[in-house]
Amino acid sequence: MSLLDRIRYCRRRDIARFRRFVVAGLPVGWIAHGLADRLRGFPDVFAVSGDAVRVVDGLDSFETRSRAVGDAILRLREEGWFPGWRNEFFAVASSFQAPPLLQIERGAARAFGIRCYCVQLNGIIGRDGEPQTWIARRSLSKPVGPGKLDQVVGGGLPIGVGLRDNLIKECAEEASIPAALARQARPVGAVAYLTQDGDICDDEVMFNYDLVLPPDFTPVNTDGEVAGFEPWPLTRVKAVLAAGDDFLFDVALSLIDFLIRHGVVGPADPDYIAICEGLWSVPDAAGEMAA
Amino acid sequence: MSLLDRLKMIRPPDLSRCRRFVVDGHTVGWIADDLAARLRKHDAVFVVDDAVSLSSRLRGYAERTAAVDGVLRKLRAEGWFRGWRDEAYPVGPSFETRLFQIERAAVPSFGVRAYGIHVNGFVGAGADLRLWVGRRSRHKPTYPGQLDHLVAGGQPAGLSLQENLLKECAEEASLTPDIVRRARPVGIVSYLMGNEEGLRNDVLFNYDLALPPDVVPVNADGEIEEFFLWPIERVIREVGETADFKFNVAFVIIDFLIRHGFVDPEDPDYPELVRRLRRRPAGGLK
Repeated sequence: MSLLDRIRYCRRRDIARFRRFVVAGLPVGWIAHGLADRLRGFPDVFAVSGDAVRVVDGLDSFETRSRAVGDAILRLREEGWFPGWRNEFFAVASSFQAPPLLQIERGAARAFGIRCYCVQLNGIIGRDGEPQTWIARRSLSKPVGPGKLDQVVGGGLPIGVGLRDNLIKECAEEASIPAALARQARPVGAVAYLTQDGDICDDEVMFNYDLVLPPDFTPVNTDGEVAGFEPWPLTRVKAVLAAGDDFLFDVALSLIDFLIRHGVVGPADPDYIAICEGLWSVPDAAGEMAA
Repeated sequence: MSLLDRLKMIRPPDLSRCRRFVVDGHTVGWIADDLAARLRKHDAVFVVDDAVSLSSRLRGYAERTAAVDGVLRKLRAEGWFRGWRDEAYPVGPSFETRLFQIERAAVPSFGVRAYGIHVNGFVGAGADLRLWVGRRSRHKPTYPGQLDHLVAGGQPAGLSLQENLLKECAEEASLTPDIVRRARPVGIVSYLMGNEEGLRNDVLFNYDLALPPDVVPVNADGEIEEFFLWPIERVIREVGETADFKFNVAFVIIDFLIRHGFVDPEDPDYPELVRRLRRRPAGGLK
């Protein structure tokens, strides 16, 4: 086992199980064949072919698409689709710059394989000696990665919320970090991946932040999403990441970036270049996906 | 111009006019068709078909190195390989696995991966951070007069990264080993680009070196004309609005700006900026 295995896990590509999800002529997601076939039951909303699921051209605005797709998703939810309903919407767009084409319930976003954005915070413990960071254990009730190890704060970006505002909100909910302290978090880069497992395609860009926390600060969870926090030396983070999949798979990417930036993973480590280059491994086009 | 425009100045190579350079079953570079045709005459060393392969009769690092060097010197006499340096670069499928070494001047023509070290030397933190910037000598064969890092250099065969870091820091900036040991590795920048000689397939190992205000660099090898300690806002302006920085120095500085929080992730270009700083993995991760 190695750090490179964590990267490899984030770039499993199994495109034979998926069709493109296309809105306004633009590819915006990946839908497994089972769901694609079920969407044939909504011909006023989806045009389903062998290689793609298209939102019909008649739905030509953000509002009409969001309403029609949302109604279909609600019907499917009654049939048992989309576990992990959140009552929160993600934007669906062709890129980070592009205006959203529709919004979609977060609990259904994974099944449609849309690109999600999130903020991840490394809570560095500001004291002399060996550098340490706060590590969280995810609650056993989380729909994704229950019981896995996590960063001190992390959260998906709902539509209409800025990255920094989202970070401050998540800091309060997940770790009781006061807003004045959370505002000192420094943006330090981003990692991205696209991985397909079973009927799920996860496509995500993770915006990373570092925050030096006072030595007398202890994070306290308020939203029930975290079972507990522990201070860990960075060398232990590295050893546990290399040893197996105790960390949530995408958190591993964000943490490897953290260890690289802080020199804990360096050129003397095996596969350093491949690891650095693997921190952004999202294919640009369907053609590259197949390669 | 924006920081993203700066990254887009890089020209992707035309691999359709190149053949793979294969050694011991590994693709280690890309060779343009005209050089491939010329290498055909040296069939004891190079086997030229759809790819250019090193003859399997050549065994081991020393034997491959000597055979290739003999051919390169003949071609050099015909005018190939501008700016001969008598400096050897390692060649192999990865940084850790080296199969032979090759003259630095021939590296772009063979499209092999080249490695370098770049040191961001800075004073202070946050909005008060200042970055050391060097002006390259007007007599340098490459990029004369352009702006450069405090210390940057190619990674030759036969030196470890740490040894090279100590050597370059002494030669380019007269930094003592006790100062250089504070340098922290912070990641890489990598890219594949076409240039007039062939292609550049570079990996730059980046280091951050926080310097006390009283350490003033002094160039010892004549390669840097002058050093400046610039406020970070000035660096951002020069990188984003001019082409005065050597292109790959600009890339490493953009990586520095991102890591130190000087680029706002709410900037719509942000994901694309981060993506373009590193070459995408080429199918090699199985």
